[in-house]
Amino acid sequence: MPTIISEIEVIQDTTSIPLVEPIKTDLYVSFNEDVLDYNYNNSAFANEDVLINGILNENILNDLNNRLQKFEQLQPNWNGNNTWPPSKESIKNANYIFNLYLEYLNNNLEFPASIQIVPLNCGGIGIELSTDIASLELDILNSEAFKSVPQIFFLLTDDEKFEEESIITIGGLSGLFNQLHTIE
Amino acid sequence: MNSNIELISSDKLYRRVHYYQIIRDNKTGELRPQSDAFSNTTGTLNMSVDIAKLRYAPEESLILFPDDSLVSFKIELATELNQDVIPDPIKENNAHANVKGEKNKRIRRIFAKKAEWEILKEEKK
Repeated sequence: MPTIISEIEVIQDTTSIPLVEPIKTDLYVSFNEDVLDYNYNNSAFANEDVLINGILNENILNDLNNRLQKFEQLQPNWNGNNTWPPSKESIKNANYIFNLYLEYLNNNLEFPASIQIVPLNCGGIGIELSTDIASLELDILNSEAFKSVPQIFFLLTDDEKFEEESIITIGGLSGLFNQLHTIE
Repeated sequence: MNSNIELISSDKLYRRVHYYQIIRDNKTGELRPQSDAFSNTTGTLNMSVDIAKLRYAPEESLILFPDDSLVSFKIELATELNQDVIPDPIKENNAHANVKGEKNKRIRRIFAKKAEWEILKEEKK
């Protein structure tokens, strides 16, 4: 069973979440037709590799956006009694976090990375960012997403010797991204 | 009644997994449920499961949700994670039980990593 090395550090942040702009792929993607893998699988179970041969995969952005739109169409009780669809605010937050993460990756192109997203039963969006070694799970709940400084529940783990579960705000995410990519 | 059924640690429990909550594990490369597939019913400490030995076949647990998939785990895993397993037969499901206890993200992830597929539907109908 994993050992908890550090836990419960609530990071306070007074910054507000900026308004979310639509994802602009050209802002993040260094496009190289010779290297991009066009065999990308657009199924729901695709391995969401963000980086392919050191180049950001622009298909991931379209796929994430498409999937968020599908989540937005879910109805109450979509997964049994007392399950709720993600709110527009949750989706905006998720969208903003994608951009933050992709911007982070764009500055650190040597890292392997994947992004996968799920709707949460209680209402919200779950994001799982993964490297070959560790994963960062982020939960954006509807009940938090409308706040000016939403709190995000996270679990950072390598499923072996490192595990940290706590709450963070968007302002602290870049530090978590760094941790995710430096766990050895 | 089934609420008095005797359960042992090696008994299997079934948990339904929605199509949208299946992801690919970064380490194994295999499909697995995402952690949230093991969350409690909103506002309760209960996660609904079916007791496998009270089902004729795993498919019986998906009659109302034919697009979904099904995983199983043993009661001993729930016990290791400080959960109680309480039979709770209901009118439409005699095999129903609750896995009762707090489930933080760590616990949900352990369920997600250790559960085994009984039925995996890779295509949404």
